[in-house]
Amino acid sequence: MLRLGVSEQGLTEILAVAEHVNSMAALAEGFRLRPDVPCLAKGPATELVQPLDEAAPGLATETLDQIRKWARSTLGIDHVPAFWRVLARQPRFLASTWAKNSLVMSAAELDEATKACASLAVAMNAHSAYFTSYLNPWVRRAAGLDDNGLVELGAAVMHYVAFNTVAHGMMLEPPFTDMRAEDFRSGGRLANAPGPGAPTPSTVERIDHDDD
Amino acid sequence: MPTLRFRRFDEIPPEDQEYVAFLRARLRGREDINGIFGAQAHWPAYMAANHKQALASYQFQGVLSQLAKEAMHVAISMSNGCDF
Repeated sequence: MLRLGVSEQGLTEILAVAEHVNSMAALAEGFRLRPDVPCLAKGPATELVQPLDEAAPGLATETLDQIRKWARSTLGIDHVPAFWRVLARQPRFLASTWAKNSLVMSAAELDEATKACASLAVAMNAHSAYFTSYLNPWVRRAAGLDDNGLVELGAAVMHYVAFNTVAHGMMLEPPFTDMRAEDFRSGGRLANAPGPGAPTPSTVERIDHDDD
Repeated sequence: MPTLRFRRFDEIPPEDQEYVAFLRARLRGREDINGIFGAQAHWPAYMAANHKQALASYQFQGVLSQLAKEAMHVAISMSNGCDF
C-alpha cells in the first residue's frame, strides 16, 4: 500500500478495519448470531444471547436510533441488525463500539470503497456468515460491485489466503521492515523494491509522475 | 530462517525450466529464487499454477482498484499474523 502512495495513517486505517471486523466477527459467531441482512433471521433461534427488543431499547435508545438510520441508508433495511441489539444490553459498550465503527469504516485517507472491500475480505477470512451477509449490501454499493465484481473480490481473497499459507508454511521472513511511506517514493530506499503486490508498470508511471 | 533453502535457477531441472521462464524474466538476471516464489520453487509446476491463478485474481485488472486489492491483502495478512 505504501508503494501506491498511501501514508502511514492509511496503512493504520486498514489495521483498524482488520481488527475491528475481526473482533466483531468473534462476537457474532461466538454468540451464534444468525445472518439478518437483508431479511430478519428465520427458523429456530441459535443465539446464545437474545438481541434486545427494538421496542424496548432502554438506555440504548439514542445509539440504536443512529444505527437504525445508518442501516436504512447503507444496508437498505428497516431493522437494527441483531449484532448491535446484542451489544445494546451494555449501552456504554454499544455507544463506544458504534462510535469506533463510525470512525473506522468511514472514508478518511482511504475511501469508503477501499474500506468496504477490506472489511468484507476480513469477514470472509474470519469465516463469519453473519458479517459477510451484513457487509454485502455496503460493499456492493460503496465499491459498485455486481456479482461478477464480487467474484473478482473473492478471487483476490482466495489468493491472499493461499499466499499467507505459503508464507507461514515455509516460514518466510519479511522482505522489508521498519518502513516509512517516503521509502517507496521516487529516490527512496525501496522505490524499486520487487515482490508480490508490486505495482503494475502503469501504476509506477503514475506514481513517478505524481512525484514530479 | 525459511523452512527450506531457496533454489537457484540453475538448480531447476531442464524439464521444469518452462515453469520458471516467467520468473526468470521478472527477476532479470538474478540467480536465486527467494521470497514467495522461493517457497514454491521446489515444485515448479505448482509455482506456475499459482502464478497463473494470481494473474487471474490478485493481478487481474477488473472493476476493483489496485488500492482496494492491496488493502484487502494487507487486512487479511494482518488478520492471519503473516510476518511476510
